[in-house]
Amino acid sequence: MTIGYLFSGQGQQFAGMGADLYAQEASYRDVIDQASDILHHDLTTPAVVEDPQLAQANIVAFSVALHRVLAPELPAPAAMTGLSLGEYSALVAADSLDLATILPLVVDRTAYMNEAGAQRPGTMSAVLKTSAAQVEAICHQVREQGELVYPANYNTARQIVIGGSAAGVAQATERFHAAGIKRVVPLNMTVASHTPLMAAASRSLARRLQDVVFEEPSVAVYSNTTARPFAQLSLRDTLVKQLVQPTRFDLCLTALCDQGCDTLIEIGPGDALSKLAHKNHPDLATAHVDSVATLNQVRHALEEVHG
Amino acid sequence: MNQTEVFNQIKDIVIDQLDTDAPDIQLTTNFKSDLSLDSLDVFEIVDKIEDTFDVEIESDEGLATVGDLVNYVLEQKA
Repeated sequence: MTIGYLFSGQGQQFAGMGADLYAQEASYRDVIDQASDILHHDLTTPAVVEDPQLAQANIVAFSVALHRVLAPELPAPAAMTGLSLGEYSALVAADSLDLATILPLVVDRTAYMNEAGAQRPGTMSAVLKTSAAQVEAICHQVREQGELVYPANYNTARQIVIGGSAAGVAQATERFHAAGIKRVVPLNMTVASHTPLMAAASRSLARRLQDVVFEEPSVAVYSNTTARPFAQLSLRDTLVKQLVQPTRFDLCLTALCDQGCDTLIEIGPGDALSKLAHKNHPDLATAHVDSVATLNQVRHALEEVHG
Repeated sequence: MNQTEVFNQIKDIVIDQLDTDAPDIQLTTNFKSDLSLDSLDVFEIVDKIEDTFDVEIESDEGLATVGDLVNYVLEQKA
């Protein structure tokens, strides 16, 4: 069994997230208490967990705390990746950044994205049963007509999310329908992440990262932007570009397979990434951990493997 | 194709879409309330059903449960 980790992105937070883990798992509790001290907010109170300005920090703290529980119990991973924000959790798991650095950083990243979104509001839609070539061609055609729309998330060969201005996404949707693509599903987003509409956020993040010190990751962490492992020297640049360039989670999954991973464990809220892994590579074994119940399922499966 | 055959194939498609072990799926199983699938998941299921049964499904309107999909496919194939 060769393990890879997937760290969740935004959008799958749930009510009461982490309360059961905090009550039962000492190493989880240690990380959350430390995170609460760093942020000067008690991350065990529902009001803080639901605060949109702390949403990214909550997900990273939750994911890092879960990783702290799981890491000693699992074989060492061959590689890791995460979706968007999940890359930050992965970089902490790979000892490139510490908690005290990352939590204020992702709070600021949230603010930069909100500011950029307020300046240039955006929307996103998932296009199903399409292809990369078709999405790229239609986005290009719409931009030639003067409206902004771009491929934003390459999730599978046939499921690609587009992001842009409301008019841009609407015009692209019309063109998809005209081309026989029936399903263009609007997502609940008010910013067009991973598109040039995030340029202002990207510039703010570049300034913010100037003084942040990254260590060389101890495990290969595949970047959504380059589909290659983050390297110490180019890390800042890659994270800055991540906000304005599409995520290639499809290629990251292929890279993890190429590294020999046959079992992927999603760490963080929800199971969106394990579902994508399963769709891209049906032979992969997948599991997700975001509660005591799912943690115990993984523990049970490990006992069966090791006898 | 009878109802049982269509149901079994649709059940396999739904289970494949889920990350967890095979839950107890019945005709009355509701995608959103019982399986907590979001609309994107439901559309992925609808897409697979189109390919498997060679039918066209224009929207997910009125397709809330496994049984709704089974009946829809049976009507299209009748």
